[in-house]
Amino acid sequence: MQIPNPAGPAAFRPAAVIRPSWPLMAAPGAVILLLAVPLLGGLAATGLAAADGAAWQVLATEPGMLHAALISLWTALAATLLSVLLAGGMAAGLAALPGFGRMAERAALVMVAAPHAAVAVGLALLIAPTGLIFRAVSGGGDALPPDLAVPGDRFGLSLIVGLVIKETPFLLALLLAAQARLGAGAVLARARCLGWRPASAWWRIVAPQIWPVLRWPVVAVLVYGIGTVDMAVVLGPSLPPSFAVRSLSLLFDADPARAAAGHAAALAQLALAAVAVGIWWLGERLARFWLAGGRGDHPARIDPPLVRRPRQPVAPALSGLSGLVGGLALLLAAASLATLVIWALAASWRFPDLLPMRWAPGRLADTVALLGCVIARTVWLGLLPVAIALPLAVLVLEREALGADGGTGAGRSLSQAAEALVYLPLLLPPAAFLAGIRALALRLGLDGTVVAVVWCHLLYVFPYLFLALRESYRRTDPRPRLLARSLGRGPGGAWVAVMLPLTARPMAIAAAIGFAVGVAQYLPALMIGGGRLPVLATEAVAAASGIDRRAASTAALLMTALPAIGFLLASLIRAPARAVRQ
Amino acid sequence: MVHQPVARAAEADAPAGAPADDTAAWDAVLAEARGQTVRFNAWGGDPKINTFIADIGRQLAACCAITLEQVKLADTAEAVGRIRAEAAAGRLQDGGSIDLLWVNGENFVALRQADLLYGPFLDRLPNARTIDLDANPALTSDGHIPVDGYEVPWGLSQFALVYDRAVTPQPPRGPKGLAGWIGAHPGRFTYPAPPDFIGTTFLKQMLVMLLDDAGRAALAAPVDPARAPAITAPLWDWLDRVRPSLWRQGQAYPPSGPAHEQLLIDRAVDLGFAFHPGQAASAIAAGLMADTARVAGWSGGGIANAHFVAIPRNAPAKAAAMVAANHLISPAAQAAKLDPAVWGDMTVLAADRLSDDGRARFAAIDLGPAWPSDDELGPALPEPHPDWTGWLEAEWARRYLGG
Repeated sequence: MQIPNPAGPAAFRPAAVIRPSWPLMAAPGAVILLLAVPLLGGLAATGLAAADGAAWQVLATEPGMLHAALISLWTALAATLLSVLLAGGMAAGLAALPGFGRMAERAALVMVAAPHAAVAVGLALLIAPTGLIFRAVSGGGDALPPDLAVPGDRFGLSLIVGLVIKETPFLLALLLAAQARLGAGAVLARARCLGWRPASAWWRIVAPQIWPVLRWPVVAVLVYGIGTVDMAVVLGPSLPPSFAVRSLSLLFDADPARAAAGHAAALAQLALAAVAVGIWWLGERLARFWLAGGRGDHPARIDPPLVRRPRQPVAPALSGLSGLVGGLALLLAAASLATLVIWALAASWRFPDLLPMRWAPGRLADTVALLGCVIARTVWLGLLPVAIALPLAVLVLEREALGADGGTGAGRSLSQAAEALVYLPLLLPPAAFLAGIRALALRLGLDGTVVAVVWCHLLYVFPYLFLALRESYRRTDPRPRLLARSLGRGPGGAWVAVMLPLTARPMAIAAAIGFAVGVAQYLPALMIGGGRLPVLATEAVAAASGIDRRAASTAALLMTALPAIGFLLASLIRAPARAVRQ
Repeated sequence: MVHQPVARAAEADAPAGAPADDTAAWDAVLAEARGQTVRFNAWGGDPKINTFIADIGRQLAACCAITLEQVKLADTAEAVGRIRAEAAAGRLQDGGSIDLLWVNGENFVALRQADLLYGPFLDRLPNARTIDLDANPALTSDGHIPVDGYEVPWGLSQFALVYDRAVTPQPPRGPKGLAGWIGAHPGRFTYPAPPDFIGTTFLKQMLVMLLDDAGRAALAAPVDPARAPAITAPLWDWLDRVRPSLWRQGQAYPPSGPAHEQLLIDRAVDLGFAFHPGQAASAIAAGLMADTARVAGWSGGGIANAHFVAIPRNAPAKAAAMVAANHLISPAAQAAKLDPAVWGDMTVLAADRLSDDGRARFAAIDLGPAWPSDDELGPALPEPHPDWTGWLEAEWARRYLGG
């Protein structure tokens, strides 16, 4: 996920001229401890619980497990491929229309911030036979809803759509940022002079160069598809459900033998994720071969392919189509969220009425009052990890910026270990380690405690927050601070005087991202919270399986509103005044 | 055998006052309960039940300084698994995460047989005197094992049909009629996939109705794997026969009871199932179904059971849990629960043991036109032996899931 920044101010980074204070020295170690203990401990405990041969035997005789595994592989791979193509198509289109890039990036970021469970509930209500889409085409009157099994179709198509509308904006945001850094517009202009069509040029010249930015996020998207439970419960097939959902219901089984099989299944998700990544890797090799015009070499250099016209141009129509479908996906996402609003305010909304006959906004207020505790809990289970992760991330980045790890030896490798570890939770199916963490927490009496859930949230909040902050931190010019130090300010004083104003806005945005990630978490509250710490995500998913769509919509809407408020507050912090920079 | 809503039952004298030492013992429980938090683990899929439980929580806070927190379960088996895991981790007497559990059937059997429940405590609850345990065997036996005071009866259920009178004026009420109706209305009937509770109960109901007396006797005993296929053959024949005319040609089934009810509400199917005679009435009250929705019993009666609350042995707040359980069987709470606008669940209290005041509370409740008469609901049939639950579910999965 590293975004290369070869010519940035980092080139001016001083060698280890400043002796760092102990918080800086300790920060990477603290990160390693904080992330590695639950992650590796959890994996080990899952393995230990699954070490019984009988567990695997029960798993093997469980009907429909193989089918469930194939469903998971298919939905994850198809959704990832579609998301990459759609994000690529849109990025290609936007590279040719530079004016819209910024707008599209904003729209994409809104969707990135919307929690998975909320999008799933909204989409489920939108595409259901009684959803807005079929109401619009029903013709009204006494029409019956169509006999369609959506969501929850056998082939997982609804789940694929759900994953695509959530992941395409994420990949698009990364692509847009990367191509802005690359100066894609200029590259395409040069290519056009040489007779390339823009779409071909984007896929053959720009895409290979910004692809490294996507490589790890795509793996994270793929693994998310394998391990997701909240989206799969709401949108996925039910007979049998996806492998992750089956694993969880085994894990929760009252029969100890089946619970052990659940641990085995959680571990098997690792293998499933590895298979998915392997298939993806093979596909990627093939795509590269094809994009390189069949020569099989690395097409990342600009010049040779620019000069040599391709033998098989990527059909511009196809690229345009994927851009268009990508735009539709964004629209579908927006309509899903709009559906939540309608259902949350409806008194009763029977098919085929296009809009509810009666509205009951008062009930929304009642529900908010009823969910008061849950809302408050969701907020602080989102804020606490941020409160821990933000200072830690700043310290790690400070240490890097000050060149404290610039030398050789233990300091540097500690920082590198911390950075590598940061991404690990995003690259593993969550149940693989959460099942073990759950077993450990039960043994230690920590299940259902805030400490345990916050710690698990941290595994997801820290990486995203760190990534968001790292970019802007690395782009910050270190010279003003050197100046402040040379004028006699202490390290803390220099940071407060120079870095704080410079990074206040990025820090606020990173905190908002971290908060959004925390609010969206479903599995930690479900598995480690032991049902005692219900949050909006668990409420929304539980209500989605019930009969009252209004309850599900209200919970989903509230959990979308929280991150939105977070981003709104973050955006209130202004960029630093020019004076500080000069 | 059915425990009828007391609103329609005969009146009798108020219960006799409790002996003084009992009063003192209960006062001690009340005193210990003050300030405690009861984590009430209860299935959370129905907002109107959740609202009812929230109301109970407010009343407990006001009267007894007890905080009631509903932990909404998707499946009660989760809670059983958690109690087991806690016990395995050495938290046997205390330190549990559950104070009160809404439970019945095989989950109760699992907990009771592993000796993970606290009790017997039913006798210690003052309001238990208004329950006539002899009135209904479902109150004293749960999952074919004796309750023995380890559970407090909370409500009564009986399996029935839900339909819209305007769409289906004469709903079929037996397997033969239902098969004919399904053939005449292809795609308009289905049932939740077992092991969903409602789906499994539908299998049991059809089985009971298809069998003669000898077959029914076999259902009351544990499963004999050698004879079971022959005993249940009529059920599989019946299911095979109707399958092509089911919703989605029987290639897919709604995954849960609520998902099935959603299909009925969406008019994707025409017949639904109810475990409460007030189900149609409460769906009307909630604006989910048309005013013409009704509940009909099966001819010959429906499978009935009771649902209970129990206290795990490792519950940290046992005193408060007992106070909460006692409150759940108070005439006020039971009458509120009967109201279709609130929940529509049958009471466990005996009319002849209520005070005049209590009876007046029940009499004040308007059951509405969607609530079936006792004749329409029919008699209560006993559940098959719990062994059959797992066997039927596994056999159904083998035949229809193709896993």
